Amino acid sequence: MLAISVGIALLFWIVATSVLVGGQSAVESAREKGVPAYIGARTAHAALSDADRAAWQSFRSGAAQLTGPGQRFRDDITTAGDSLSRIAEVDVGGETGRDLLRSVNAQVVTYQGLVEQADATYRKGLEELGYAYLTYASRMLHADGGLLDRIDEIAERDRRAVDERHGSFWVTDAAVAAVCLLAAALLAVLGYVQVAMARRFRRVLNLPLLAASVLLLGLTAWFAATFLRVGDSFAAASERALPAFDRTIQAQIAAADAGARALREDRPAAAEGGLDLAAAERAQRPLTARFGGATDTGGLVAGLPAGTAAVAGLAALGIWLRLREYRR
Amino acid sequence: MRPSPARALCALVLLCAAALTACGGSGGDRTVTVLGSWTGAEHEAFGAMLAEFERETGIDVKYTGTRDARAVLASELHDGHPPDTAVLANPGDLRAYAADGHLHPVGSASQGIAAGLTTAAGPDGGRRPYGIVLKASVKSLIWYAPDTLPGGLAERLRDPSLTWDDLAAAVSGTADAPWCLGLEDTSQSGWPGTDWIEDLLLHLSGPEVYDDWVAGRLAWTSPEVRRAWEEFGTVVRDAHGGNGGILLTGYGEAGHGMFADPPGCRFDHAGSFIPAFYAQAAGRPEPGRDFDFVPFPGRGTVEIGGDLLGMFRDTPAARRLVAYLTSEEAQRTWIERAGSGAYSLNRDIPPGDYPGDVPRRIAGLLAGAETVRFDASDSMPSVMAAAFNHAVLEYAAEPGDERLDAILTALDKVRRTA
Repeated sequence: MLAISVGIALLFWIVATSVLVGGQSAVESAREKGVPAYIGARTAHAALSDADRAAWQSFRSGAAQLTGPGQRFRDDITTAGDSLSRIAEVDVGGETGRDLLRSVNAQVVTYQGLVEQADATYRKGLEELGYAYLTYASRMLHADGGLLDRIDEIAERDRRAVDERHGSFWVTDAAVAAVCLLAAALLAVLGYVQVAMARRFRRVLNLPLLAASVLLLGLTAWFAATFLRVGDSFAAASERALPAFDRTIQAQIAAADAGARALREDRPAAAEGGLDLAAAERAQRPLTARFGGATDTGGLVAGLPAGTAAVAGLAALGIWLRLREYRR
Repeated sequence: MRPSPARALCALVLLCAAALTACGGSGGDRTVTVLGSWTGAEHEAFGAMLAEFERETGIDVKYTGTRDARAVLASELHDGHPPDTAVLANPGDLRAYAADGHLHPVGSASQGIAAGLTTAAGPDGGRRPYGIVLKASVKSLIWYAPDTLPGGLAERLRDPSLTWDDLAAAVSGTADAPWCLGLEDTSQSGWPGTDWIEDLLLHLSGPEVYDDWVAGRLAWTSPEVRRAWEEFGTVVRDAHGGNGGILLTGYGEAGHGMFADPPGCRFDHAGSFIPAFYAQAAGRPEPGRDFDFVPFPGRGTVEIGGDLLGMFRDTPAARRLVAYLTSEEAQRTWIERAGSGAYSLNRDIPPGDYPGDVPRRIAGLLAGAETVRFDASDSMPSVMAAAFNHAVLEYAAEPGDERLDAILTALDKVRRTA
């Protein structure tokens, strides 16, 4: 009985620790890699869409004669560059991902070069050629398989990575149920030992065994509550907060694209455009908060091994005390 | 018998050594990486060539296809991890990489028509073949839709004694704006115009003048180069869609006007790859039936373009791949794919082996050419080539004498510094 109790306690600790480590690894991977890369890709897309709109705005308004494509265009290009750098930092896609990112960076440089060429030509008095270059730049962005499609490819890959982490076994209710089942098995063994010893030694209660059972119940409840909360937070982050951020960015992209389209066709468009970094930042806050909740295990990392060791120790102590009495 | 700890340790060491040997061997002998710009149908065609190589040799070929292969290659070289081999878009890049010591000579692998195309100076100044031509396209072609031409004109155009002046006069009589012309191509707009000027210079002034110009020995302001630009100016003025139209029309769509009713334009100067674009026009025109070509006037001289392959890591597997890709067997895999638009420089493939009458005649033109020259802008230093592309767009936007003077003077300034 002593060996069975300690063995099941050890198994409980191994499985619970695996769920804890696996779950935290899934959450951390999504929080530290998948989500920043996804946000970076979506922001880069929005920034480049807005750069296109801003460049057209500057040319159509005549400001290009004095300021070229304008400060807004330059800010957007800087934002796109920063966002792409963040994707490189987290390095999600391996060698293929690095090649794709290199290719996207090269295209951003080419896009910027075309707009600069449009500016130089326009200022030289070749207005028609200036607009032609600007059209080449726009088509490079928006064409099928063009720069924005490549960035969307990165975003989809990163979104899939987040979904895969969210779908990982370690953060499902099944993993928590498996731990609870093991705890129930251990509890049943402890109960059986308690009853068997009470009958055999005519004692009412074995206090260390009782303490082990109560501690196990508490530890399991703590574990289950923590992990159900982690799962809920992860679900809230990936199923609600991330799509909410995406809707915000998508609205900005749609506004920028509509503005650029109108300006290309020489129709009036709103002076202000799509990219609103402050709104994007606000849309990220719930996401950050949800992931904060998902990574907070409330001391379970230390509590789980200590509690399991205490359960095993108390169970062993209870059995050993009775056996010692019997030997006397 | 119980295994002793010493025996167990020996076994473990042997296992590790075997594993390490297997891993080490995979780099140079069993695997070869290829970086290229082909995606879609071109990737499939190249994949068919590679599959045969893999089957025959057991060597695994890892191909990475990206439209920005040039930038990815530069980045990988910068990181110190180049691919074993890479497809290069032009001899200019091949020469630059050879001179920098990034490329390894390919020995005798470079053979066939215009074999000297891939010969370049290495870092020690010695000239060696540094690449192979994987596939070529024939550039000096003028396409037309026979049904849209006055009776007898198509036959006159096929007369071997036809000159450029004859052709220009005949073309201008067919419509107000007979030339199909589109200069747009995503990030490299302008090259259809550089092809025009190159063909005009090559055929009007001869290969020696052309070579001097490509090598930077002939001034852009020379009478020969100026005449080629002026002739291109007449094409621009006679082009369908006007100046604004040709700037914003893609090179692949420009010829679709030939198949419209009524036709928007009558003649299109384009390479041997253009039938694949014509096939996307309304009614899905077919070569031979709906459209045909005549060689650029001045028989026996052909300008070609092509994709080259360079070896960045000298491994046994890379050498075997390079040798295989120029073989008759490999080249056939590519050219026999209908609509590939690919032509081989391997003389072992007779023109009669190409699929269809039009490809056979183009292959015959290439095989029978006395003079073959590579696309000039692809052979120039990249700064010169970029300036040339832009200059074409500038001239197309405003094809006047004054503008041409300024453009040629500016290009010559670039020539002196490039």
